[in-house]
Amino acid sequence: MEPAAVASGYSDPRAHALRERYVRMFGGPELPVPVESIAEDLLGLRIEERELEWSGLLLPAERTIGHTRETRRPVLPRFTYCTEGASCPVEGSPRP
Amino acid sequence: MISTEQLLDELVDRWTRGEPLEVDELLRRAGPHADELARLIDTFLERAPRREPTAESVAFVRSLDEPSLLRARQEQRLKLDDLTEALVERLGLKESARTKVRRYYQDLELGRLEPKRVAQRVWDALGDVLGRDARELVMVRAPAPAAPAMYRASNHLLSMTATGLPDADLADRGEPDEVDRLFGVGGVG
Repeated sequence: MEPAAVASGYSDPRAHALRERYVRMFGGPELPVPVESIAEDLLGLRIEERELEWSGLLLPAERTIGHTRETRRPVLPRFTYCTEGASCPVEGSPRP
Repeated sequence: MISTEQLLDELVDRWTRGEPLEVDELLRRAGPHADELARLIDTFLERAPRREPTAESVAFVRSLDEPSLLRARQEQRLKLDDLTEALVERLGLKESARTKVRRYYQDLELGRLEPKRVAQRVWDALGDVLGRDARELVMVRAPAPAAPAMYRASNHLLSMTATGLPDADLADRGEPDEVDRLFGVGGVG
């Protein structure tokens, strides 16, 4: 079910399916989306700080999201986890 | 401009040498003849004899699957924090050990720890939490050199070779403590 509270011109059914799968497995409210928990608890990804020239990256075979120290700031981690976590289903590894 | 036949020859040469075919690159170079080249490549691959995958290829494909320990944790509907809490309690550790236990358990889940070095007490505690013999669920994952890092920039998916090192590897771990000994980390076990 797509939350009506989210007003956006873009919608990806895979994102909703992933969120619904998370809620079925672990429960809890759908919003705000627990992106860090989805990455770690559902997708089985390790989130760790790395020395990078970019804000974040996904290492599919290592099941790891790397982010820089800079992304510790309040908003950036959510953005990085969403971007890299979303690459898992999109790029095919790990499975959504 | 290079012909589709020449590009197909390049692909056949790569196939013969057992190198990555890099079809996308060939199709890009074919420009407006990409569809024609794609048909030629399809025909070649349909007729080429099958070959056994290399050990590296098998390791890579296996790395795409979800780790068994992760599936067992999810079957119990346990988040990492839930499992960590249960482990800390069953192992009789202090609350201050929680961060390290979480990291080492996740290492185990991801196949980054050598199972033989992990203490029996940890396996017993894990078995208690997961309701099955956790040792049977763990496998050490071989590195998969064929899997590049992915990051996004300007809406284009790019590959990179420099992945940086995790801070945990950069940091001075100090003297091994009880948690290190339990998980067989840092020259103990």
